This record gives sequence, C-alpha cells and structure tokens, in this order.
Amino acid sequence: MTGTTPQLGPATLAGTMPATPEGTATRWVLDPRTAVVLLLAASVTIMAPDGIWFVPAALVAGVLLAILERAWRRAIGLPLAAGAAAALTYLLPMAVPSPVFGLVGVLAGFALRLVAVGGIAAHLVRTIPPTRLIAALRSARVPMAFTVSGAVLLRFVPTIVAETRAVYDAMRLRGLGGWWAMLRHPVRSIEYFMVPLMASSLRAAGDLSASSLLRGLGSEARPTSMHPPRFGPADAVAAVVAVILAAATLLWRSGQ
Amino acid sequence: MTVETTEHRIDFRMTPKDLINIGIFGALYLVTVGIFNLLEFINPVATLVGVLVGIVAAGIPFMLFLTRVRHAGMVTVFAVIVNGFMLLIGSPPIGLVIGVAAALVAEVLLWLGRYRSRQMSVLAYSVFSAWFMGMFYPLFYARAEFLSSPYMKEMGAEYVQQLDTLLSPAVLIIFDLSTLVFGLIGGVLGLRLLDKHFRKAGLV
Repeated sequence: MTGTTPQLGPATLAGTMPATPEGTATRWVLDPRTAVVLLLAASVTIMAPDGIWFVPAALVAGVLLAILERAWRRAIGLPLAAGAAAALTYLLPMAVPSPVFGLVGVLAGFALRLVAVGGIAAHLVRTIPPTRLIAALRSARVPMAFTVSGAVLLRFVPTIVAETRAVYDAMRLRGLGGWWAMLRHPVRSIEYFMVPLMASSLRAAGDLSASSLLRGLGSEARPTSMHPPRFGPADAVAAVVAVILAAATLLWRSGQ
Repeated sequence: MTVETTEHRIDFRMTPKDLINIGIFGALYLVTVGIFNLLEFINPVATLVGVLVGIVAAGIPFMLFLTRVRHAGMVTVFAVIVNGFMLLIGSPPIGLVIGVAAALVAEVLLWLGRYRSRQMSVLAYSVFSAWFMGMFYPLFYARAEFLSSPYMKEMGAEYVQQLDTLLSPAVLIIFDLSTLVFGLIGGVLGLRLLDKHFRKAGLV
C-alpha cells in the first residue's frame, strides 16, 4: 500500500486504485476468490513443516502471475531475491563454518519462504482493488461483520500512511525525527509520533464514517456490486497450473 | 459508573458504528505495527527490536479502541481482520489461529472487567499481542529442518550442537514471553497517553 492522497467525499469507500476498464484486460485477471485461495494454499503448504519443498512451485506461480500482470520487474526480481536467500541459506554455512552464520542461514531460510509467498501476495495486492476484494468476499458468504470492517480498514490504510508521512515531515522540521533520537528516547519518540498521527487520523475518520453511514454502509440489505465477481477462463487456467505445480512438487519430493 | 456499564449481558450484535470503529482502529494498529517493523531493513537483529517496539507503540491505538468497545465480539472481529490482512500480505497462516485464540482470551478478560476496567484492558492488550508469536513460529520448523539437512551432516556434530544452543527453543520461548511483557508496557503507555492527551481532546 503506497502513497495515495486521501480523498474525502463521494469516493470514500471506492478503492484507491483505478478500476480496470471493462473488456480489455479484465478477462485475464484472476477472480479475487481464486487469488485468495491460491495465496492461502501457497502460504499453508510453505509455512508448514517441510514446506521448503513447495518453495520452487510457489516461485514459478509468482513469476507466472507477474508475467500475466506484465510486471516485468517483479518477474525478474522474484527469482533473484529467492536465489540470494537460497544462497545465504545453503551456501554460506558451508563456506564459513561458524554458528553465527548458521543463524544467518536459518533466518535466510525463513526469508526464502516469505519471498515465495510474497510473490503471490504481491500479485493480489497490486491487481485486486479493495472494492473487488470486498465484493468477492461478500459473494463468498463471509459474514457482514468482517466485510464491512475489512472494507473500512482497507480504505483507511492509505489515508493513515499519508498522515504518517505528514507527521514524520513535521517531526523532521522540528528536529525530532531520525533513528538516533528514536533509540535514545524510545518512549518519548513513540509519543511524539503516535499522538499527532492518531489525532489527525481520527479527525479524517470522523468525516469518512459519517459519509459512509449516509451512503448505507452496514445496512441490513445486501449491497449489490456493479461488476459482480465471476469466475473466468483465467481462473480455470490458474487452477490447472496450481494442480500441475503441486503434483510436480510431490513427484519431485518422492523421487528424492 | 455510566449508563452503558449496566448492560452486562453478552451481546454480539454490532452496530455499523462499531464496525467502522473496528476498521479505523484496525488500520491505525496495522500501520503502527508496519512502520516500526520497517526497522528490519537496517539489519535482521533490528527485526526483533522493531517487533517489540511496534508492540509497545501499537498499544496506544489499541487502548483507544478499547475505550469504544462496549460488548463482546469486537476484539475478535478486530483480530480476524488485522490477521486476515497480514495473511493477505504473506505472513504465516498460524498467525490467524493464534491471533483469534488470543483475542478470545482478551474478550474474556474484558468481560470480567465489565469493559471498563483499566487493569483488565492492559491485560487484554498484553494477551492480544500474542499474535506476534505466530509470525515467528515457522522459525521453529525451519530450524529443525535446517539442522537435519544433508548440508548440516557434513558440518560435524559440534557445529550443529553450537547452532542448536544458539537457536534453542528456549530463546524462542523467551521471545514469546517478551511479547506479553512488551504488551503490558504498551498497554500502560497507551493508558498514560489516553489520560495525558486524548481525554483532553475529547477523543475518548
């Protein structure tokens, strides 16, 4: 979630990303439900014991998704980052036999798993605007308590990130910022940072919640969606590719 | 004792206002945790420091959130959407399980304090912070896997022994317990700042 200017007013709960134009690339974008299931499958298998076996499959899936999205930098960066983490995990402890580097190796192994899951997560974050995600969760019968509060959360994160920048700039202007000050007076720095951040965020929150209540957020009636989520050919292809990758991993593992 | 505290029954019905409050404070909580975790880009050791400082700092929005909680279920919904967001950006799924379990314990503590006890709200934040443990659980498996890998067999028993003590489960358990302790510190700091700033500004 990177910097977007907070917009108060009619666009309150609309996503902060521009909606994809109908008809052009939309057919080859995954349905949010598919993307979430894919991410959960990768995350559960990789973070489980012995999950390291599934890292290559998740990396392939991440690179394919990046290519689908035409995010070339990620398509190249993902294998490079994973390669660096794998080198630290397996080659470094062999080259330098010391427990300290062994510790680095274990941490790098953890980072390798995070990179593998992160490739799929990055696709989800970059291609699915909050409104589509919420509409998909609603059609997957997730209870209203979670969809409404989740929608508010996703809407507020960019606003608060913008406020954070403003507070940090104001601190720098008064000579209060910087990591050194943070380390010398941690509690005071937290106070100087958090109090203005919360005060200004809550002021914006008051306006936004009044506006969204007026437009029927959280009403009993089930909201309809302008573009109802539908499964398309992209989802079928993604499911087939995921099954092939999982089968290949299991075969490779039993062959070792 | 105000009028609201007379309602002691367990009530799960949420008003839209409750749900909006959960979303707003969830976002504030996540951004706070995220900013202090940016420390990890300095070096890996700073990751742990960043997490612990983040727990303390995130106590402030959480304690302010608790002043607006008046019935059961809100902390659980908060935990589900915060941990669900973490899941979507790639953190281990066990975090969601631990987070919801911790939130249920926090709910009980809050209910025991009739949603207005200051001591209980500090304890509730400390327990709620336990979800941070979930982020590091895969280190347990990664460790066992790493120590038993073929590469390690070549390194010799002594080396493996040294690495084992450096990364012992005891170290990880101490980290887990420290999330609770830092949660207490965060809760107390949050309460202090509520009294010092937010009550005056009419935000409580």
